[in-house]
Amino acid sequence: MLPLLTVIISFLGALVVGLIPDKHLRATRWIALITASAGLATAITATLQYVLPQGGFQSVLAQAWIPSIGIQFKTGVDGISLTLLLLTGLIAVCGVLFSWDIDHRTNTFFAFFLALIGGVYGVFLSLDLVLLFVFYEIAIVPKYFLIAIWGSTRREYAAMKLVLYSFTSSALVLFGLIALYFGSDLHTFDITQLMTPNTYSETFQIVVFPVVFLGFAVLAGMWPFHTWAPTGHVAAPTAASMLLAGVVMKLGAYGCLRIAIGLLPIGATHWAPVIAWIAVINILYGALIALVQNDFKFVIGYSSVSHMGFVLLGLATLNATGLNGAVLQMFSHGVIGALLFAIVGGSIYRRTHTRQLAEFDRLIDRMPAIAWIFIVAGLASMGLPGFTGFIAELNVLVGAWQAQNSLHVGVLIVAGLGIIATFAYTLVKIHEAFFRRSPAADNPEHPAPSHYPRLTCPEIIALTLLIATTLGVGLFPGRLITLINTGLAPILIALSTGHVLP
Amino acid sequence: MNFPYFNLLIALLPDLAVLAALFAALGVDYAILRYESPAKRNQTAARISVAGLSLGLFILILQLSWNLPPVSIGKDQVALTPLTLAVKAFLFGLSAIVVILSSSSQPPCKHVSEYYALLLLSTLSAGLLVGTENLLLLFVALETMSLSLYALTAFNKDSKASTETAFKYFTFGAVSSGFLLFGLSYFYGVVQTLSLPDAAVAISQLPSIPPLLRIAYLFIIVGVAFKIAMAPFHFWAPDVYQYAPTPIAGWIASGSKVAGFFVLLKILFPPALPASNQTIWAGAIACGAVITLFVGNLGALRQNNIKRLLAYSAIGQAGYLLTGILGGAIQGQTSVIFYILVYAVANLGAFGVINIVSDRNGLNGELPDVAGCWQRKPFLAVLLGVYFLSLAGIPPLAGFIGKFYLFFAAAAQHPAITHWNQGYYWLVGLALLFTAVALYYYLRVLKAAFVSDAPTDAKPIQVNPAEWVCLSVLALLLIAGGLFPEAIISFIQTTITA
Amino acid sequence: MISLITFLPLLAALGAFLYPGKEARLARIWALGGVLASLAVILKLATRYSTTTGLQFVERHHWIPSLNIEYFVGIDGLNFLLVLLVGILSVVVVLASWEITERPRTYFPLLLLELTGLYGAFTALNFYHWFLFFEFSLVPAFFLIKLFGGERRDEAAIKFFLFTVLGSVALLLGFQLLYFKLGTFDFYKLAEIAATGTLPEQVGPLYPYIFLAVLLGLWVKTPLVPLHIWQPEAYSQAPVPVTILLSGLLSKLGVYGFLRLILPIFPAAVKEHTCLLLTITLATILLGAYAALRQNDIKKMLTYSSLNHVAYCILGISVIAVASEHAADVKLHFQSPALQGAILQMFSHGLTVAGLFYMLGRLEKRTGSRYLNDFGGLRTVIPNFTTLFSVLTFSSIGLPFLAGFASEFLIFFGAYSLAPVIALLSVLALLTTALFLLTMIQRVFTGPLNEKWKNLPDLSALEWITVTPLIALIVWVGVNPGFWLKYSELLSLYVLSQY
Repeated sequence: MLPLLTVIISFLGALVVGLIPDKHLRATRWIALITASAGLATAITATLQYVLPQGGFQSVLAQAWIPSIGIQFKTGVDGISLTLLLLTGLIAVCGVLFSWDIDHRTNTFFAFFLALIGGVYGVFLSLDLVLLFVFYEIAIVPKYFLIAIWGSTRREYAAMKLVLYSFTSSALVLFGLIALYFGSDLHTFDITQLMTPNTYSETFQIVVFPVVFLGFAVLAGMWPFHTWAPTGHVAAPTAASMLLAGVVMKLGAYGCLRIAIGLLPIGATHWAPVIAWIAVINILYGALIALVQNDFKFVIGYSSVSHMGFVLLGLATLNATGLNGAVLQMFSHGVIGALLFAIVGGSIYRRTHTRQLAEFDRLIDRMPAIAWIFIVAGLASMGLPGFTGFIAELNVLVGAWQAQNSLHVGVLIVAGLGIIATFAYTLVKIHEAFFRRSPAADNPEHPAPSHYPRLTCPEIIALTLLIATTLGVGLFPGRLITLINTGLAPILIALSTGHVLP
Repeated sequence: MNFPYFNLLIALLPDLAVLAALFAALGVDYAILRYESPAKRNQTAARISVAGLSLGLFILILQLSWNLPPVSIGKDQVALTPLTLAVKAFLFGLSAIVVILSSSSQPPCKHVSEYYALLLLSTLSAGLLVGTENLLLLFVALETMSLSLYALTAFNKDSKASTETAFKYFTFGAVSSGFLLFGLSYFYGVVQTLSLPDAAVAISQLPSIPPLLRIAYLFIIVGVAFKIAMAPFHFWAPDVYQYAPTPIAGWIASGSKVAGFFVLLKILFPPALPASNQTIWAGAIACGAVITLFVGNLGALRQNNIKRLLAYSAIGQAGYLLTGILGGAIQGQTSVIFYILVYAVANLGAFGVINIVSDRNGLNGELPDVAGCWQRKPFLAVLLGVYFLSLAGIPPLAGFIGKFYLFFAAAAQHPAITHWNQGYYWLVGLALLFTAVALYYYLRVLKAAFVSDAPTDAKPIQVNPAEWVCLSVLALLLIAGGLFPEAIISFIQTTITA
Repeated sequence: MISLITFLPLLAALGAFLYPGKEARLARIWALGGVLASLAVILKLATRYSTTTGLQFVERHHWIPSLNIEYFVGIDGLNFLLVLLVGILSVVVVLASWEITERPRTYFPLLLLELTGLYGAFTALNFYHWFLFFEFSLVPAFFLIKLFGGERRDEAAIKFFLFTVLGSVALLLGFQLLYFKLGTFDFYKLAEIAATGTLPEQVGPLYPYIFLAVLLGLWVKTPLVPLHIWQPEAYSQAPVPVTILLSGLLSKLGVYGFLRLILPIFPAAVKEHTCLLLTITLATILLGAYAALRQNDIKKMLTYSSLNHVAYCILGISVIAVASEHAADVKLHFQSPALQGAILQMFSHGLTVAGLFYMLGRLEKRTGSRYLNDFGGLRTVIPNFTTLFSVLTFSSIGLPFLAGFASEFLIFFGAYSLAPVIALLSVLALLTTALFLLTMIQRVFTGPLNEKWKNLPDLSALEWITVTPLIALIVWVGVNPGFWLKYSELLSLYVLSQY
């Protein structure tokens, strides 16, 4: 019951915030912050309450919902969902803090924001396919409005694109879910029941897996269906980009893992090589495109695509280490992506009112603190040891080595090139943003101030939280890894029994 | 045999209440208020209509709560089950809301009471249609309903477009009635009975399916296709939706659509007909579903008039419903009935809002009319959001569960996806893809309502309390239907299987 | 205790960065305090260091149990001298930065972070732990060059970073595979497995590729031809203290990698690829020497000379694997000096090159120039300066009784016996080195005085304090190499047991 509180709190918060009249700015902000923090606190408590040695799904709440068509209201948590709940809570709090200066339709903004978060929590908690799908779709509409109303840079186009991609992919998912219901003899949408091995025949798995996986992977930013991600993330207001890149992309990855791989292990084994190739294309392509972007936020947008490639690669390994790496990378990219978007879309843009790299003139002199924070974030994003990204990528790559029977060695080489490209674009963009002299800045009409305003208190808190998390978990990932491993255990059993099937 | 007049009286009590209201509205208007101001006449007629409908609704609820066993009178001329009672109640309720929405607008024209009388007549016939299992009565009820709608469409006598549209509507309708009647007579020729349950027995005893029956079904489907705006018999819909008085358009989109689908369901699924008989018509329905999905959803993409957009969306939604029909007698019927109810609620709500926002300000329901609705009347914008999101099938609104159920039912017919050649997964897949297309045009409306700023010369939006109540009830129904659909679904399912 | 060495500079970095108040110059006090504290701890450990036991001062904690990763640090003969070298040079570096006024609150924390990275990398005994610091050490260096470097700093910095990262990625991929096959990141455990000789079989057909991947990483870091092209620019564009760090310490990270990651863990592969190793080493030695000969910019000259000198270490390391017909004990007689010479060479080269770059920096500070053509006859103006500079140069040339001689002699002794051709060819480079260094001395300090410089000040107190200890150590190593060699004796035998 306790984990479900996250959903309830968020939706209630959204409702309350939505009903507050528009003029009570402070009250709106504070209620939003309290709601988000309560969600985070609940997620933390739920994690602490989780009995590790016991493993499996805990705090399960099952309630008949629409028994005529076999739909339950069933929620529960395991290691994977707890990890992502924590992430969601953290990003939610930081997102609210980074929206502190929103004064246009504040109440509506926070209502949509909290509703989106509620939907995301719900997806991670659901143990029934349809319930999961319901929350998955609940998250779609707020995204549209967050971008279309408070966004920038072709916001309406971007919002529509993002929503249509999400919705089309979710149509694929729904198709898959219906097939999953009828494909087994159990005739249920209950994930825990469907996870029992040998539920589905081999042909069925091979046919249905790509449908379900593709449906979810589009939301995870899989090439070549990733194009919604950069445009959407760039157009979104800061908090929304943090949430989109940080958490919403993880919904897709989570679905790939929990449903596509968890329920259709033979299909996964069959399709893994293809996924691995696409994943490394993601990594390399995202990084190379980021290298040639001129809009700073687009750089970050494409870096997200690149990083999600590691998640997909981890998923394609189908072994303990790789899958663990994939989940860790979800967490890691969630934190780091949010951090980068917060700095670029929030802190810097707020001060310079431009995101064109060509117009930045040695920002290291003008906003040293922000510059250094970005540099730290950039290092984290590169996967420097000590940050979460490293340990996650390490696991993914070790997993890929382990899976060399099924994956081509070229996959690893391309992934290695991708890492180098990541280093390249991060450094180049750091240089262009912070160290380069810009001729545009000498414009006598609009001289750039020698010092931009300092970081505000909410900004400092949010940035500190995010950096502390990526560094803290990066240095001591032990607990998190154990937590994830307990969640992966049943999936791995399904995978291993899947292999021996004729 | 003694004809059970008393039973008939009890069974038709609600309809009598409405009938009484119909005559009362006309009578009071003609006899007493002849020379009063149109506003007063309008108000009185509307009040009488609402009273009659409410009384009918009340009696229906009483009948429902008595928990009577299914009644069948005559040659199944009046066949009341809890389901038909409930649907009748639902139609009466919708009609009452249409009346309320109409009454608060400027009186549509000088013939105030005729307007309400015709509306009540169409409601009455829709109710009779739902509650009969007799082919003849089915046809008569359908025609009565259609005729009243033709007249209502033309009610804006000053508007050329309205008249032209009504004429178009009438012409198409007459042709389709011809098809329907042909089909029904062939059907009668094969089964030799007017009663549908008897017809089912007759069909199941046939050694093989005679070609005449196929032709009969084809003609019937073509005839009904017109009523439910199934492509390629949809051409009247965009014009009618756009040019008919908006509340009437709402009623055509909701009440008459419910009635149309009930006709289809009754003929396609006569009680206790073996499932194998579906093959007679499944091909035709599947073809129709594909064409309808394409025409409706692609047509809606380019519309800038919300009412016209809703017309195309209605065509598209008919495609989903046809997909659901392929789900068979139990799951298919249940899902279609559930969704048609949900759909009717959402559509009526949408038209209600447009009526308030556009028509009352003398506008035609173009997209910019709702622009900045969030600034002008935030709660109205929220209601609009609920209706359109339900139409789009976004959870947790009832539209999602309804669509899900339709697809679920269609897939359940041949559940093995690994056998490509059978089953309707392909159709489900197509329909699902079109839900994404549909989201695009629904979002266009919501974008105008929630994102755009109000034009500087926008007139204020006035909503009276009765309208607030009506629209909120519709929205609440959608939310409740999405959160707790089990009660409705199991109710429909049990009455169908009983 | 070892953790203390690593984290004291980190603490000082935080202090220097966060210390409130306007007096930004206080940052240098924090820096000096930090490095001295670390040095004090190192000296304390040095007094307790026992040359008869292997691994000492071990700290070992669970870190990420699920990946079998430990926090595992310790000191043995392979890294003792290097830790000491970091301790000494860190003081030199801070003193060399004493007059930095541009943004000291950025500069000194970066410097201290760099030292943390170095200490961490030199003491780590678990690959994960080691790699963390190895990679980490890149970052402050990158920004030190980028922020405080010369005109072409941006290019130099990014070249430096990308090349090194390229190597690191290869290294990482290699070790990942090793981990996946063997389930451990522990250097000692990996060496034990290698000692049984079953490692190639356990790893399977990818064994040579892993070796090459690891080699690639260190190849770039050290650097060796042809992957050295990032080096001249990075060294010459970096500010002087950073050049000292790069040449004196960061390059040792690469050599240390050979000692720690390659020799004990991949003996079979090393034996197989000795030819490749010796070829690139020889190429580096020769190229370094001849390139230095052609320079006019003294800093560039010293850079190439450093390339050449570090390659001697690799020479000492790789010749031990040369197959020879000598009996095992005779062979050991040659191998041991080579290997120990290599270890000592790291130490002595570190001391020498730090002194040289420092002095050059002081010269540039006085004159604003570092081109051979601009000088002449400085001996008469700044005699003390000339003396100290010459001593350092002689050590670099390898004059007896100075540090360079002791280590290079040992390396060449071993190399000559094991791979005479290579050794002879390398001697050519030795001669070239003498040629260009002596030319430099001659053109800068002797001959007719360039009138521009007749008022140059001689050594300041700070300069005396900085250089004298270095000279003293150089002489100590040169006069009594035995004292220093005994630290590495045990461990070199351990390593050599497989060759």
